[in-house]
Parts: sequence; structure tokens; C-alpha cells
Amino acid sequence: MDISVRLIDPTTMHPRLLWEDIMAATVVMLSHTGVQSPFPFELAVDDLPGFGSAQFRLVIDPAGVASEHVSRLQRTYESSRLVELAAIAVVGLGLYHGGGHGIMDIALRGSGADYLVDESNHLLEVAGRSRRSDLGVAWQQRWQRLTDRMGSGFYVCVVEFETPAGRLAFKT
Amino acid sequence: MATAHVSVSDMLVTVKSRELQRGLLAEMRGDQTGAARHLLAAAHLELVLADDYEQSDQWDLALRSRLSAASCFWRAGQPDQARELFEAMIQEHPTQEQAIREVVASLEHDYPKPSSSV
Repeated sequence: MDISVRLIDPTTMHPRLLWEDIMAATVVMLSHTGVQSPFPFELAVDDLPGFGSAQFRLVIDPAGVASEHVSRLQRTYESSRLVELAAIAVVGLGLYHGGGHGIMDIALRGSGADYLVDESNHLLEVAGRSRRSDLGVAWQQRWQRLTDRMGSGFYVCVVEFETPAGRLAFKT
Repeated sequence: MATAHVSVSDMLVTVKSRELQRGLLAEMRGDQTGAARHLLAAAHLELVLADDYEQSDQWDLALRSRLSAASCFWRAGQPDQARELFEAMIQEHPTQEQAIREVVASLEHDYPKPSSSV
């Protein structure tokens, strides 16, 4: 399913969060794939509440993100940080187009952070990787850890920026 | 006497989330002063939210906010205050001791401080 999106859309989809640096980081990471704008992104979504499963091909238009900000961000943050930030933009787009879900809150949990989705307060963990080969392990770690901790009722999203592609799923 | 129902403020959650994000972004930039300022703000707001969640019987969210508050204090350079909070959480939620100690262990590993363990 092709979905044309604007990178600035999460600012209105999920207005409780700050998106400026996240959007610029996403432009940096998608530009590294060597593909011209608008950038395609393959996202598999599984069992999202009120939506179900699908294979999204997000076609991401970076219009509205200032090139000066992108350049500054590229100089300021290490690449591993840019990957982390860009993953948040992808999950923001995926949640909205996969059932109209909204990110409501972010909290720290030790060295990591997690999010709450919708008024139902379903937990979400997000991870980004530079290489496609790291996707499977990152996915399994998060899915298993949250299954052990919570049983069900949570989201996991892991994306990679080599292909680029990712997976967003809800554990029922 | 009727018990007053406390609702959790959307605005407070939003301000907290954004302060936390500002802290994380400053941390990523290596701006420790900025990170501490924003993470301390988020920590105090998490404590207010934790009380509000408790008064509205949202116990899981209250614990999540307290874990977040302690994590913010630790990453803002106040590990002693964080340890006090973690210790209080273990006393109040003994069934969650392992989960709380896992959070402490992740902080000790990634944000080591020269203090004794909880």
C-alpha cells in the first residue's frame, strides 16, 4: 500500500512531542540511502488495533524541513543518535496511518525511553539500526523483553536505514 | 466524606514529555549542563504526575512515572537522589523489585557513578 506523507505531518499527528530535530535527523538518514526525494520506506505493520496488518510503502516528502537545520544536525549528532531519532519519525507516521493512533507521552526507564500510545496507554518501544542485518536481533530482544514483562498490549517498532525498511507490531 | 477524584493534566504530561525530550537531545549533543537542566525539570514533573496517577488509581502509570523520575535524576547527575527513589519504590512495590533493580543496573552500566549499589 503506497502512502504519500509529509515529514512534517507528525507535528500535527502527535502534537505532544517535539519533532523539529527528529524530522531533520530523518532527512539525514533517508538521504544516506542514495534515493532521491520523496524517499520510499517499506514498513510492515502487524495487528495494529482498529487496523490490522499491511505492508506500507511510505513515500516521504521532506518539504518543510529546513536544509540549514539538516546540515547543522548532521554536524551536531553522532550517526547512532541520528538513527535513533529518525526511527521515531517512522513510527509516528506508521501509527497514524495504521489506525490513527497517537503518541501521548514519553518517559525514561533507566538508559532507555518508552512511549504511551492513545488514551489506552499502550506501551511502545522504538529502535533504529543503520544496517539491515541488525534488524532481526533488535526486534527479537524487544519483543521478548516486553512479552516477559507485560504479556500483551504493547507496541514494538524497529527500523533500519540501509534498505530502508522496518516493522511495527502490536502484541494482542 | 466523598473522595476527590484527581484527573491527570494533559498539559502537565505534554510539558513533562517535552522537557524530557529536550534533556535527551541535549544529552545526545554532549551538552551536559543543558541535559541536567531539562532532565531535572522532567524529574520533578514526573513526581507530580506519579502522585496524580496514584490518586486516580492508575498504579502502573504511577510506578512508570516514579521510575522515570529516578532515571531523570540519575542522568542529570543526581544519583543519590535517584537511589533514594529507587529504594522507596522497592519498599512500596516488593513484587517489582527485580524490574526496578534491572533499571538501576542499566543506569549503573551506561551512566556509571562512584556510589554504592542500591
